[in-house]
Amino acid sequence: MSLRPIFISSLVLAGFALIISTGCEQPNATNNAAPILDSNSVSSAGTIKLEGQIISIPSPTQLAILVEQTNVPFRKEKLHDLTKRDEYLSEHKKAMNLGIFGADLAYISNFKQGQLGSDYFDAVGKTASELEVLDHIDGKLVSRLSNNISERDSVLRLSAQFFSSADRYLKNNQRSDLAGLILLGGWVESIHLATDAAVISKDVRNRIGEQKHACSSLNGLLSKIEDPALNDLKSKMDQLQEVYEDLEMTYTYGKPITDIKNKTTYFTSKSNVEMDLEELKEVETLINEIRNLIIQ
Amino acid sequence: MKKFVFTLALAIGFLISNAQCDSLAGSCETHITQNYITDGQAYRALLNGGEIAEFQTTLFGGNTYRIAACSGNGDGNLIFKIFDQEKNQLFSSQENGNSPYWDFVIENTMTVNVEASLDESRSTSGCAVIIIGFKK
Repeated sequence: MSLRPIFISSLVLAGFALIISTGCEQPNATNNAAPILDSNSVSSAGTIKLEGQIISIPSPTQLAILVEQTNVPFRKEKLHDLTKRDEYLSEHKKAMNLGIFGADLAYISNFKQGQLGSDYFDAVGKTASELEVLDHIDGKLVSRLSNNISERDSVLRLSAQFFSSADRYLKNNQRSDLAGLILLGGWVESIHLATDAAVISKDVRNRIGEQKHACSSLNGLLSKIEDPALNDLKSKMDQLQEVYEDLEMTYTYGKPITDIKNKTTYFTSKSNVEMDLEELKEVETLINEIRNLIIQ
Repeated sequence: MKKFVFTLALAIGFLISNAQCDSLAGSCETHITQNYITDGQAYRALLNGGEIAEFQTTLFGGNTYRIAACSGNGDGNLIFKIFDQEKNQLFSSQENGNSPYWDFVIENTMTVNVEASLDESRSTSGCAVIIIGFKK
């Protein structure tokens, strides 16, 4: 007796079993309409682009921590208006605004704003739920975040884990477009929130100047998403990239020093980017225009 | 029929790989200990043989980062290397016992290329996951 039919039947059965067993993880039919990003692609050099896109965006938390060190006072009016949340109907809008609410939460955590933190955490949770992400994030993590919303360090660490889980789930379900748009929203909001501090702090101003690569990566990501509703946003991001391209950056290689015992390497290369107040104003204006397109 | 079986086999392989990647990313996060905050992104790729996965990232001056690299069930299956924009190699986990994680103290902001490949003596294919955290 030939084993081939048995093999084929087994393969078919295994296939159905897997599809059924993972069925609850699949996005629904409407969710399937949007993903345009290419999946893992291999270049001629055999290099695989991670998730089909070489993209790594600085966490909004990093900028929030730097802003906190400047002692710039809290400004509630810098935050996104929570009442607007219900107005977002498309998944792309929801994703970008999820990123914005997440960056707001990191900013709020710097200023011990108790109830306000809870309100923005609610906005994050509800938006994540509407994107069908919340159910796939560890419930214990969500509870811990909710219970520690007034503790800065916990909020920063747990919300990063929250967004990491969301990123993982979306990429796992071929929704890299949404994962990228969450990053975009978070990045735009983190710069928007840092501009006050950047006026008085050269460190923050230069940190905003150092976002050149992030801006370029986000532009690359946006260019792969086919959604006419994003055309104005793409155009503004192009303008922002042009401003970044004009910033002068220098780099001088330095030999790294490795401490094997402590599993630590010190990168000693020197680099510099200078952003003056005029250039900051240009970035701020464009970031505000981009943010308005996202939140309108 | 052959085409159907091939497509089905591909689909099965894809589903299994995705599930593996997802659980691997979760376990890899254990290397990002309490002192570190993840950047909220999981960098993943399916690798075969000597393929190299790479991405570019900015490491900001004044920060300490931890990079964790995982593949398969045990530690040390994934080699990761870091290069600067002038292609100077700054670090290789292979030269440091295939350590699954390493810390990096950054003096000045720099954009780097992170490359990951399987240690072919241990594994010839699988999911590669890299996670980046920064010190609070």
